[in-house]
Amino acid sequence: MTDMSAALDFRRITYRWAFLRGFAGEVIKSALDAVKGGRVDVAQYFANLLYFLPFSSTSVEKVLFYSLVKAGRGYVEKDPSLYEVKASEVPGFDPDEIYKVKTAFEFLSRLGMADLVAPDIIRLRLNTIKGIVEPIAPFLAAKDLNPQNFNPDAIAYPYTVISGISALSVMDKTDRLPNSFTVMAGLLSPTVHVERDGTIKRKTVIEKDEWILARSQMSKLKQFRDKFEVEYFKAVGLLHENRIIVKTYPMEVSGTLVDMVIAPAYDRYYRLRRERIISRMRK
Amino acid sequence: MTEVKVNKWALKYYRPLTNEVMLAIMDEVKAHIAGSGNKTVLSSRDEAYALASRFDGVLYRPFFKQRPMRILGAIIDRCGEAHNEKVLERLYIGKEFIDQWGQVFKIPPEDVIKEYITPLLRLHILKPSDRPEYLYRVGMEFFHLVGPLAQFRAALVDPEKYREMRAVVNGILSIYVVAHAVKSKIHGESARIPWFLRLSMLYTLSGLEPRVAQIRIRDILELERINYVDKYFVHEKGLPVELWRSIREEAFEFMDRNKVIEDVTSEGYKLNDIWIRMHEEGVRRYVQRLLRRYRGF
Repeated sequence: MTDMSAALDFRRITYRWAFLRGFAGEVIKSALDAVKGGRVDVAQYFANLLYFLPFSSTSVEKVLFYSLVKAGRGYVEKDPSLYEVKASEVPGFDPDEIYKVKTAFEFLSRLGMADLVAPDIIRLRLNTIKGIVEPIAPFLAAKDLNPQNFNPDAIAYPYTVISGISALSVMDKTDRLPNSFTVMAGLLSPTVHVERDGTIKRKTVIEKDEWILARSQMSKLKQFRDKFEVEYFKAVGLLHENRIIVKTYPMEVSGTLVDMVIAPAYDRYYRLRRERIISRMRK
Repeated sequence: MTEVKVNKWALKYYRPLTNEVMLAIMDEVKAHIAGSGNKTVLSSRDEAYALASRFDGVLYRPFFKQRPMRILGAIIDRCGEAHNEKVLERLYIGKEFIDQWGQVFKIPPEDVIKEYITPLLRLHILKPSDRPEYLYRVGMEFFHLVGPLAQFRAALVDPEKYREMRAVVNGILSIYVVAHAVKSKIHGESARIPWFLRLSMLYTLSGLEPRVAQIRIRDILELERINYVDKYFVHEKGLPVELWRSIREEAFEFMDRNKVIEDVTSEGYKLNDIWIRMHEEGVRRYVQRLLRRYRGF
């Protein structure tokens, strides 16, 4: 007889490939939910993941970059008509690839960043303008840009956000995850656990034992075969580069990521598992 | 935009509340690091270290005497030497070292043990020696914590790692000293939480959610809330504006350097989770104390 209200923590998640892969999928879904809820800043933790996926299409990235730079000009010149983008004007696509632009448009409207005015025209929403365009607009307009008032964090922020959003979109749409991301989700999984009564406990510190156990359990999974080490180093590199690791002694990760992504992912995963167990018992 | 609520009760009783938070923090750190007392909030020693590193640099203010820091500096260096040369003999402290501390740090000989060694004993930094020829021994836990720290003359130390470990050690000492000052205040001396620390705690406590069954503090610090707290103290309490400006600047420098403020979101500053949880625990303890006093249980 299976225990219906079993607890869930990283020991279980990193123990089997199916659990780990399912959990990583839920991480993507809850990150997208957070972005849809207006927390665009969550996307920056997923930047640069796209380049680990073979043959991935970068159409969302191209479209989003073009429309944001155009909107930045519109923001400076106070011309709202520049917030609109036509499918045919986006550079970097051949005429027969226009369907790619359209799917990117649909994705952006589904994400709540833009409205579809016509099938081939989008207009950026106000929250996108406020969240991403406003910080870059001064740099697009500035004529007296000198190194003293140049803030690299502010100007690089839209890049990391866009890179993260396109990575999330591609992974969600194709349902293929780079192994390094799966390892990354496994390494981050000790931050949350679900207790027997279903309450979710969060923390931001990963203990040494937990990290080592998660790593050694994942290294035994057959799917990684002998390339686990490579994926592990890629994952740690990403954790550092995307500023998920805040401190190393003791190991501490970003609280925003835990609150907005990992904890909801556990919640979804836990409920899915319970439903599955209940339906199995009914049969 | 929703209206920002500020908890005026927390502002009115700021003194007992901040004191209680400080005591709660010390009890928790003690429970995890020295192994005495109940663990109530945090789940592991690493979390206690993370909490301690939030209090880095409190002691370096001119708020405390420099002599305890000098003695501690000597002890840390000693641990480093013992760790490097693998000679545990170095961890033992005899009578002649204590006399020397008194001499070189210009402490009256009768005060050395009473004022400087006893606190270290209570913090489990020093322990009574198990060998008859020495008086004290450095505690093994403290040694394992700071031993790898003082390696800078034997090996090249990664500055990032050094800074983070150093922050933990310094934070533990800060918590200990401030909490002790609070405790001795209860026995009838003056209050000793420095204002920049107290203000950081007040910004946090003003986010206490009113009238909910479980004590909860919002982890987003809105700009409106900051302004309200400032106005309360300057206008209603009548503190000088210029003093307040300097305190506020120090408080934000403190919160930013020690990563109490983790992130800036569009709503406000995101505060650290462990920091918030400890404040909730402090409020809980204060409420329990009030209940005990009025209801008698």
